[in-house]
Amino acid sequence: MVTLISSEIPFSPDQRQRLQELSDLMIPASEPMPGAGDSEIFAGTLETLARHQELVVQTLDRLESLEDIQSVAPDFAQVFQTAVATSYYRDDRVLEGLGLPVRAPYPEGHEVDKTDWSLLDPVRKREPFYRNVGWDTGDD
Amino acid sequence: MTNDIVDVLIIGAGASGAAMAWSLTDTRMKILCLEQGDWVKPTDYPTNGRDWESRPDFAGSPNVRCRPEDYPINDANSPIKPVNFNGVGGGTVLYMAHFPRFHPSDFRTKTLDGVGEDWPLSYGDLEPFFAENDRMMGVAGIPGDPGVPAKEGLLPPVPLGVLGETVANGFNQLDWHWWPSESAIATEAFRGRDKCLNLGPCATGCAQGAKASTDITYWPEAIRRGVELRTRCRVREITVRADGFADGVIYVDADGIAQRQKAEVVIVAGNAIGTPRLLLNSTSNLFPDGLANSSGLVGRNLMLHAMALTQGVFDKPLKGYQGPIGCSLWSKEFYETDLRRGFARGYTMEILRGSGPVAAAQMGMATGVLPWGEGHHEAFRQMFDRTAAICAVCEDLPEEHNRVTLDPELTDSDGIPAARIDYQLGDNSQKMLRHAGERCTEVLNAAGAVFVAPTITSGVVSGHAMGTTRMGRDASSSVVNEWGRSHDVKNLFIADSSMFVTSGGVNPTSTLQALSLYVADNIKARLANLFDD
Repeated sequence: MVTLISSEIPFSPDQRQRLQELSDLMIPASEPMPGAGDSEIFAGTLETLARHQELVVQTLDRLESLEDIQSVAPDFAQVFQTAVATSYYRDDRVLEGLGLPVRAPYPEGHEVDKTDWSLLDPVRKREPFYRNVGWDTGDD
Repeated sequence: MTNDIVDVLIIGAGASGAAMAWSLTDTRMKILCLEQGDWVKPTDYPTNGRDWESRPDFAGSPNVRCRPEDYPINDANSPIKPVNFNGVGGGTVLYMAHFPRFHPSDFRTKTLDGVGEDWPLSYGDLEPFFAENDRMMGVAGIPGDPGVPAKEGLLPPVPLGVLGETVANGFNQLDWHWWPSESAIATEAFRGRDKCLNLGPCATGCAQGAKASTDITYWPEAIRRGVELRTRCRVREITVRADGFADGVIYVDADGIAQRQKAEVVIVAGNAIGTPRLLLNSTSNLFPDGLANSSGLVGRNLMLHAMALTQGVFDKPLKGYQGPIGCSLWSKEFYETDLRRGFARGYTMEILRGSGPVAAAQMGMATGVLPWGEGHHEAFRQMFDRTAAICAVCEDLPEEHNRVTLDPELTDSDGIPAARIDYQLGDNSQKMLRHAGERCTEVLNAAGAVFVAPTITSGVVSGHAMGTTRMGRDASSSVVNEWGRSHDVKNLFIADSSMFVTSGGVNPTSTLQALSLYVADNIKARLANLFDD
């Protein structure tokens, strides 16, 4: 799933470490769930963040603390949480922990129960209420 | 390089271009369609893979997707971000297949409510073409909805699922209208398409082929009937003769080579952002302000639909990620004008099914429902698959300052100037959005939501661009006439939602396809004197 090799990731070792710490602050490990700083999950996060290199590097350079990032750097926080969520919630261990199927939607799909359309009975009793106008032709 | 002249050249193979091409095959004319994108293979759709929620190459925004065949859109000056798809099928590849028609009153807003403008045609004029389009696309639903005109030939409805039934009960508690959405989804085998498997994320393409995108509905039949569809051909400009008639186009092929294509008739079907972009890029001595732009209205009156998105969290699993995300049920309770509400016109409430875990987490964090830190896991378990959303699609009125222009710097991968949109929500829309948010909250509470998040109205996305080459009888206040022909260029036609005079309060695909079929029918009926005054 992760396609960038480590030499292509445009962040320094220190920057990667801070991003990994921040990932774990956002979604910490809690049995049976891994944290977002888990190396496999974090690799996916980095791949997304690589598309926002300038914003990420600039933000990390001026941050003194990671805890207040949402108030200090909301643009970065938005990008970062999107990247983390994208990588974290497609991980097999996370899906298993949530009791979700670990598979693509296709080709199995899902079985949806048949609907009891008697639910519609109150609405069926209603008279048409759209404005019944404008049936004349445009040439009239 | 110059290619042989064709009778009809259609630009764009999306929702409207496909319908136009198919209909015009009745004439036995030589028809060519140029499409800047490519065919999409069903095996390429994200739902084939485990990364189905994280594929930027199938994102709705061309600015995120960034395929070479996409053109970027500068949308910085708009609270609503446009989405589209550039390929055979166009926007229908990624749309949700929610398939309402415009209402009869939508064509008479000036007469009825004193806002917008009346269309030069009526619901009655379009009704046969709505029906023809339904037969080609395949529409699921239940007849008898008291909120809309009657129609026939519907496929069995898409099941509501737990989520839909839960919200429907909320509407019933309030004694408000609701009805299962009409959906362009094959709920049983239909014209060579297999039935829906309830994959869920229709908005990244349908691997099953149950969703009616025009690459699998109109195009196979149009090609079988002789239309040539040439992909990876990006039209740079429409060219004109000295007498002011269009004589063809210059396009850039997949190898980046400029090609000349001559044609007797040119039809533009590039959607309400792509179409004005092309016309504005087609300048000449005769048309220094862009083609067909003597009114100055090319690009103006852009409508995107104001949208109010409200989410409610319930205390039970809703199985919301199972089933077509955009097709559950709708409500027309507040569609028609009631001035006691403080605004004219109205909106449709469209209930969305839940999303997969990635999208749910992204949305939860963006709305503040899902915290960072220790409480994250518990909060996610409380919200995931327990969230229902209602999107109110609000009619926005045509305003000339909302417009498409050419960006002075941004270009596509072939160096052609890109589109820029400048768009503001009008006062009527703002009032409607507030009303819609309050009513959606009311429904979710009545349905038993334990928490309803504040309504989101900014930063939402819309594939509902309309109005930028509006139709009308007066050449000073419209770009095309009442049957889609340019007032200025007698062999130039528009076939897409750019022609819309008003926006209605519904998804536009059904109506824009019916309108395209209507224009095609007029062309066929007037072949002997198509270019006469």
